Amino acid sequence: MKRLDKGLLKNLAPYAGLIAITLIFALTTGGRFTQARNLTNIIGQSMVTMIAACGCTFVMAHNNLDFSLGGGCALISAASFLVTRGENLPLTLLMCMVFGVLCSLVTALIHVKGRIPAFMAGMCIMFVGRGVVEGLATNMVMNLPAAATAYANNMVYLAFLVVVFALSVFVFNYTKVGKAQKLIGANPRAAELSGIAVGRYKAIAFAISGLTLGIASFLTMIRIGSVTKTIGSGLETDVLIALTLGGIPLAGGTDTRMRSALIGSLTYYVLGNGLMIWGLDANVISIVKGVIFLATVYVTMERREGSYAL
Amino acid sequence: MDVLLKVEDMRKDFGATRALAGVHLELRRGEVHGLVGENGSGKSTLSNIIAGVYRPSGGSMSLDGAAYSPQSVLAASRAGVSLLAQETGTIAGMSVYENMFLGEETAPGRGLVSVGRLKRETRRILDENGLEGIDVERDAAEYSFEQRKMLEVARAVAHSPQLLIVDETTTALSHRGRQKIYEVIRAMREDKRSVIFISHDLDEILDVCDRVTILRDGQYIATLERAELEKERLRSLMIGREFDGVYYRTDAGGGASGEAALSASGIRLDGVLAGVSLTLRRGEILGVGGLTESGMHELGKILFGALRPDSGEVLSASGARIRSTLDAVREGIAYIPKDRDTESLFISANIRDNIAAASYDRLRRGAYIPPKAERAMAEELAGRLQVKMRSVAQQLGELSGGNKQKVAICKWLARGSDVFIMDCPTRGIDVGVKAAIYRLMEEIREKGGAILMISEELTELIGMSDRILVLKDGALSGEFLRADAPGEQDIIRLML
Repeated sequence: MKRLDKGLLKNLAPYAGLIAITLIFALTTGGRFTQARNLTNIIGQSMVTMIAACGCTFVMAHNNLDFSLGGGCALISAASFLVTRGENLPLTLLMCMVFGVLCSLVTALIHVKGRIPAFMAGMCIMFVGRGVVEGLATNMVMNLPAAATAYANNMVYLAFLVVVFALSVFVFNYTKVGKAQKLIGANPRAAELSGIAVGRYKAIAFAISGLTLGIASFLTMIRIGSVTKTIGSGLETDVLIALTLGGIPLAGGTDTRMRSALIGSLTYYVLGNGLMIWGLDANVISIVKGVIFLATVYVTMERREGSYAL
Repeated sequence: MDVLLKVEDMRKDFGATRALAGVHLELRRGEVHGLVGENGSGKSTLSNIIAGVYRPSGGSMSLDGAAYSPQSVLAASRAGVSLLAQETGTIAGMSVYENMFLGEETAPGRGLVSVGRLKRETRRILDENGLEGIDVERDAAEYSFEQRKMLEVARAVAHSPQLLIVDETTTALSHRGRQKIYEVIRAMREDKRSVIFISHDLDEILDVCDRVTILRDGQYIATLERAELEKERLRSLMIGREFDGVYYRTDAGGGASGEAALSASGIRLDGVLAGVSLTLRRGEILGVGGLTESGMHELGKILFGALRPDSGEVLSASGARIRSTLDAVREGIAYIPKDRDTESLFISANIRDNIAAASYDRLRRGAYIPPKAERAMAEELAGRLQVKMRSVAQQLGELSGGNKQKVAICKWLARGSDVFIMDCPTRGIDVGVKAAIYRLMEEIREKGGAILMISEELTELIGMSDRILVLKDGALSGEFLRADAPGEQDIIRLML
């Protein structure tokens, strides 16, 4: 029964982790953590990461990492702003989604056609995006109309999250697009020899990641009210750490679950928020996060007995 | 009697699966001890425990009279136990000499690794084993499966182990490779050292072994002395009932329609295939035989679109060109690769996902794939092929080799494919499952399907094929019809 228990443990661990740290912070912060305003704040922060993580899960399921998220967010926001100036919000959202997909397809194209590891292609987008937007932001002010920021409230975010998550769960678990990702993650060669168009399905995963990144970029943009130099910075690591805390298998495969996007993001922001209330220095928080990240990887990573055998 | 290794009440569980349930083994000094049993009987698990790859769940071992419980392969090797594993044990990307001293780089000297010394040592070991042609500095991956296996043999012998475990190594090797391993085994015996020999080939077991222990479903069944060794007896002890001996097809062949199911013309692949043309017809099993390096395995991949030839074309029944695996699958062609774990199956996934992998386009209603339909399909097929499992939700990696192969076939039957390219479909599979696969092949043939069977086993080629093509150095060297009733020697002559 050892293996079964281990499987169950792995399934429950992300929930247990979230509940444990929530309890710890609730009991040690003298009620500051559990204040309604603080909790809504955490949820508000985590929703953008959740949305981006939903799409990113498709990419991780086929055993790739999307490192373009932060730079991509900057590029997408800036490009959409240049087209609409933020006057027409639905059109801005649409542009964000279109640019998101285009941006991710570039990553996918470099990866699939150029046979370059996807995380490197993603990093290239990250640097280019960062550079372009910093240059733009120094030379022009990209402020959205004041009316736009009025929509940046938790109910709007929640509505987007519900739609994105529901669609993601459906596509991930009940369509060929999702199932193909998991099989490619489990064994790309066998997937190809089973008649699955590996390159095409990888590209579709990146397109989905781009789509959710576009939505996340739009929501970030209307919250800040402008396209800043630092918009979206660190998003790729936020999402990666969140998914890991949510128990996503690092090598992808059929054990990948969409719920990791929700649980993980929540855990990540509860952790950051709680440590801040404890009064920890930002640098120390960073170190603690690093240690917890490592511990999670240690617990979730698949290690088989005898796998080191000569 | 001088006992080298004693295994008592050995138990091993993998999760909920019991691989060994109290196995005994007594190994004498200077004997070659056979270990036989069907797939999943626990032979490999037992040898892996003895060689320090796995830790047992219970039971005890003693080596040379002292308690023995190796914590790693290295510890076992220091205690004088070496394992020649079923699959390849060399690491690609490392040079030959690095592979030779893997994990014990300091062995020839003390302290720092002397690369020059490692290379000289490796050269000496290779020369002693008749492997003069292998360059110690080249990447191990540049050599063929057989050469890498020989490298492992040399590595195992270099340690002059007290006990050498040969786990199903010989079946994948050519005649020459086998002879080399037999030589090593004879030398071990003469030196009063011991060998545990595992093989599915009972003829080989009878030739090589002094005594044989039989396992079934992780249980110890019996140990037979030399005088008691007899093929039928071994077989019935292995499967626990009398085996009727009918194995291959009994009909006279014929019945192939004129309709081509798959055809290839002028297939060339640099240095491997030199212009091969063939036609597979509906209602026939076409055997393709040859040496491993004859190009027949590559030919199988090319026919399925998994390998691009330099020139030549492959056409499906409908006349469509096969240029990718996608084309092939769309045209109802199925491929069972020789290396099922890496090319055919999703080990970490469950049985259901493995069976459904090629059928999503058939299962979907619009974009939606109903989980119930997926599950029902997997259960129906796994039931039809009698896959031994707890449920279709069980992880595939927990199944034995034969049952994995059944799942690989289920995947294509689920898809509705009826033109099969099978590369060594019964490699490393026990008699029970083997017979089941042969019956299935007959069924596919009778229903008007077609099978191209690439095989290294001559008896299988002769026993199952309507027609046999022999491949030599990348070109067809002959053809036999079932009606010709060719003998093994006839085929071997064309292979060499």
